Amino acid sequence: MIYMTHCETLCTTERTTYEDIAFPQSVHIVKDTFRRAKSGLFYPPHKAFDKVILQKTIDYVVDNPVKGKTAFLFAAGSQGWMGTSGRYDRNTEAELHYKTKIPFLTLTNIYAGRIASIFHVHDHVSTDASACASSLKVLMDMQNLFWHYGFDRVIVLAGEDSVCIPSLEFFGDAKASIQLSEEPDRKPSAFDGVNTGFHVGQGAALAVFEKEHAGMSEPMAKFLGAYTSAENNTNPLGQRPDGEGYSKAIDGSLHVSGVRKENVNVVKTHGTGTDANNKAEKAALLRSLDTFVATSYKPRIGHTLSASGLLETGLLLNDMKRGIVPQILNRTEDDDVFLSYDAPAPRGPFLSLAAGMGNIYSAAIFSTEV
Amino acid sequence: MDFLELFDACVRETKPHLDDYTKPTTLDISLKEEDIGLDSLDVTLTLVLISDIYGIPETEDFNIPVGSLREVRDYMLENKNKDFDSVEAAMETVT
Repeated sequence: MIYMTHCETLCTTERTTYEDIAFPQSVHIVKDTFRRAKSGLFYPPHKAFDKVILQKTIDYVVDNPVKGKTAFLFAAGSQGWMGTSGRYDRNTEAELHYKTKIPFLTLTNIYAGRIASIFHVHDHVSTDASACASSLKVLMDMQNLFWHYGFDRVIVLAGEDSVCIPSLEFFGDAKASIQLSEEPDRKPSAFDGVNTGFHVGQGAALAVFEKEHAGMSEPMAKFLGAYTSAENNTNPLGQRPDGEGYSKAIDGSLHVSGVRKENVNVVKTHGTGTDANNKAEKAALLRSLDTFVATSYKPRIGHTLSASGLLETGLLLNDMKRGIVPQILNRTEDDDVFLSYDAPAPRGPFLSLAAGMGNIYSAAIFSTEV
Repeated sequence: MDFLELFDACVRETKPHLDDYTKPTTLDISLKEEDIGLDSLDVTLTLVLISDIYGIPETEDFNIPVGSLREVRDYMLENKNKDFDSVEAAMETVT
C-alpha cells in the first residue's frame, strides 16, 4: 500500500492586476516571491518552492530512512523556464519583467538535482514536462517505481514559472485567461453556461509518498492508482468534445487501482472553465462514473499550471477533512453534480484529474480512509 | 561593514537549506565545500549577490578570486562602486 504522508501547498485566493503587459489581466500571485526579482538574483518559482520545502519535511525524510530506494520527481510543467521567447515586444518596465543573472540555475534538471540532494535522495531523480498534467502524470511514474523497481519512498515537487510575461501572453492570446477588459462581466468558473475561463495563478506543492514503515507519520491519504492517456486527436492543443482522453485516463486509473466506478463519489476536476475543457471533462465524467459530486479549485486560486493536479488534490484533502466538497465558484446555475454549493464529503475513494497541452490526460485515485 | 557578517547574510539569502553550512569566523577560510559547507552553486550565487551589493557590474568571465574569503573581500573592495554602513542596509537593497 502507498500512503501520502505529507503534502505542503502554496497558492493564494488574492488577485493582483497587471495593466502594463501585452494582455492586461489579473493573476493570483504570492507577492513576496517576486521581491527583487528584477535584480536577476532571485527567481520567483524558487522562492515559491522554498515555501513548500519545509525543514520539518526534510528532517522527516532524512531521519526516517526507508528500507528500499527513494526517488525525487520534479513535475515541472512546460519546462519553458527562464521566459526568453515571448512573441510580443517586452515592456522591460513592467512589474513582472525579470531575467535571471545565472540562467542555468533555473533549468529544471539542475534545480531538481539541487533539491533532491537536500533530501539526501541518491537513488533516482527525474523531471517531467507534461504541461498542466505534470503533477498527476508523475504519479503514474511513481506507481511504477513502487510496484516494479524497489522504491519505498517518492518525493514529488510540482510547479513552474506560471506567472511570467510569456505565460500571460500565451493564455491571453488564446483567450483562455480572463482579460482585464472582460472583468467584471466574466468571472472564473467551470462547467458553467455563463462564466468561463480562468486567471493564471502561482502555485507549488511538495508531497511525500511511501510504503508503510516503522517510522511513518500519520498518513493523509492512501494512493490507490494513477493512469495517463492520450486521445485520438490531430491537434495537440485541442481537446475532443467527447472527452475521450479524460475517459481513457479515468478508466485506466480505475483499472490499476481496482476501484469500482460506483465507489468514486468525489471528483477534483481539472476544471479550467474553458469551453473546450467544460465539454470534454463533463462528457467523460458522466460516461465513466456513476454518482458523484465534482469541484474545481481554479476559479478560487487560478490555474497554477503544472502544480495544479497535486496542489488541488492537497486542497481537496484538507476540505474533505473539514467534511465538505467545496462549490465551484461563480456558477450561475443550480447544480448538484458540478457543484454550485458546498456538499458534504463522503469518506472513501476520490478522483483527481488533470490535462496538459500535448494531448495528455491524467487521473489519480486516492482514498481518505487510511 | 563587517565582511564576514555580510557574507553570512548573503549565504542565508541564497542557499536553500543551511544544514551543511558553517558560518565563517575568519577571512582566511577557504571556500572549499569541506571547509565551509557551500557547494560551487552556493558560492557562485553568494558572490553574485555580494557583487550586486557593491554595485560591481557582471562580467562574462566571472573572475572573482575564490582562494579564500579574504581574497573575495579584497576583490570587492577594490572594484566596488557603492558601499554601506551596515549589513542590514546592504541587504535591504537586494532582498
